[in-house]
Amino acid sequence: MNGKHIVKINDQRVRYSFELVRNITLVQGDSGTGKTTLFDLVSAYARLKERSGVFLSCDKPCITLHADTDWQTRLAAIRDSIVFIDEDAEYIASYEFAAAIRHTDNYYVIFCREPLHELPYSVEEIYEIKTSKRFHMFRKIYRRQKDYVYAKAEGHGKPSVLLTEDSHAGYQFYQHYYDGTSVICASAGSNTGVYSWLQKHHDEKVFVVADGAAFGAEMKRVMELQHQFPDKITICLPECFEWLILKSGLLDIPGLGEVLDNPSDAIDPQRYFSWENFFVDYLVQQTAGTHTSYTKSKIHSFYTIRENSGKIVALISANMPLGNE
Amino acid sequence: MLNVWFGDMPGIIYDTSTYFKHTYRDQWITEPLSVEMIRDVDKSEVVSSNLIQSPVLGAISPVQLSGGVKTLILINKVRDQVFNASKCGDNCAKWLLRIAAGKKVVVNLRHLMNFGDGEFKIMVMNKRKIAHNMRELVLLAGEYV
Repeated sequence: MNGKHIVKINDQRVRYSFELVRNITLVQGDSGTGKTTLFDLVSAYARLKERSGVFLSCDKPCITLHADTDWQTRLAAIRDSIVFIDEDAEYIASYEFAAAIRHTDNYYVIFCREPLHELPYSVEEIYEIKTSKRFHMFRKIYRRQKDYVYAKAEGHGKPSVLLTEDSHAGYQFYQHYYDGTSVICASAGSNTGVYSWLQKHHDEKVFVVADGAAFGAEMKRVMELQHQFPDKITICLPECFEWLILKSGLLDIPGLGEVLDNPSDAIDPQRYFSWENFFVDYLVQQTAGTHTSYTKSKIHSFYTIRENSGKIVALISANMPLGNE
Repeated sequence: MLNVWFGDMPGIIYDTSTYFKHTYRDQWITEPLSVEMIRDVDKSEVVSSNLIQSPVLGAISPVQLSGGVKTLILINKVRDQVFNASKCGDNCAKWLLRIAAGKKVVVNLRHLMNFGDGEFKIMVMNKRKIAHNMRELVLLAGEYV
C-alpha cells in the first residue's frame, strides 16, 4: 500500500474524518478527546461491517489489533489494510512488534503517548484529536515553522554549535561547510543520542539538524528541552539530509519533482520502513556512476563545493549558526 | 508526594482500562474527587454510581470513561498496585499532583508528562532525586523515556 488515504467514520453520536499520509501514524494528546471512542468504532465496523450501525468510508480495509497475546498471529494474516492499534497493547513498544510490521504493506494508526523507539515514525505524523461538537479531526501536535524549525517556545540569538544526529555524510557535509569558522560541528551519533547530548550541553547555543522522517520517538523529550531552553536550543527537522540535497535543485533527475511533491505515492512502505530509507536509496541510485555519486558513508566533494553546499543549506539557513570567520 | 518511575517498569498494571472494568466499586465514582476529575477531564457529569452524562456520547457507564480518568481513579483508590500513568494525558497532570498531595503515590510514566509551568515536588525514583519544576524534571527524567 502507498499513497494517501482518507478515513471517514461515524455513528449517530460521533463523526471522525482524517487523512493518513505515511505507514505509521501516532495519535496522542489529552485524555477525554475520543481516542478510545474512535478505536471502538473501527473495531465494531471491522467485526460487523454495516450491521454494526457504524458507517465507514475508506479505500482500504480498516482493521483493529487488540492487546491480545496472539497479536503476532493476527497481524501475520493482515494485508493491504489500515491497522488501528489499541493503546492498551503493551507490545507496541517492543522490538518484536517493530520487526513484525516492517516489510508489511499495511498502514498503522497507533494510539499511544509512550515514545516508540523501535519505530521510525515522522514528527509530521503525530496527532491529537480536536473536537468541534460531534465532529472529530486529527491535528498535528508538532507544527513546522519556517525552514523546517520546530519550537515550543521562541528563542533569540544565533547558535554557535551545529549538532547532527548522524556521524557520516551529513556530519561531514556540515564540517566542510563550517570549516575555518568559529562554529563547532558535533555529532550525537544517532537520533536517540540527541537528547543525551543536549542534556549534557544545555548551556550552549545549539542548532540541531536531524531527520524528521524518523525522529518521532525523540520529539517529546527534545521539544520539552527546547521549551525549557528556548534561547539555547533550535530544532531543525527536514525529512533527512538526502532529501535536502534532492530538494536543493542541485541535481537534474527526471521525475524528481513528482517524487518530492508526492512522496506518499512514490514510497512503498513494504520496502521502506521510513521515508528516510527511501530518500537515501533514491539519491544513491540516481547518482550512481556519475560525477555526483552519493554514498552515506562519505560525502562526495561535489556536495561540499561552496556553490553547491550553499544551495543545500539555503533550505534551512535562516536560523543556522552564522559561522563568522 | 508523587513518586514516578520513568520508563519500563516490570509488574505494573499496563492495561488500566481492563483492570478498572473488573475492579472498580460503585462508591469510587460518586466520591467528590472522582466527580471533579470526571467533570474536568472528560467534561462529563456523574449522575449516579452507574450513570455518567457525556456531552458527546450521552449517557454512559463508568467503564466508558476516558482511559485517563479511569487511571486517575485507580491511582487514587488502589494503593497496592502501580499503574501506567501514561494512559493519562497532560490534562491529568494536575490531578496526579492533587491525588499525591497528602500521601505517597507511586506511578509509572513512560513519557514526559507536562506538569505545567508552576512549582511541584516529584520524586524521580530512577535517580532518587526530587524535581521541583519542569526544567528539573526534563533534565532528570528525559533519559529514561
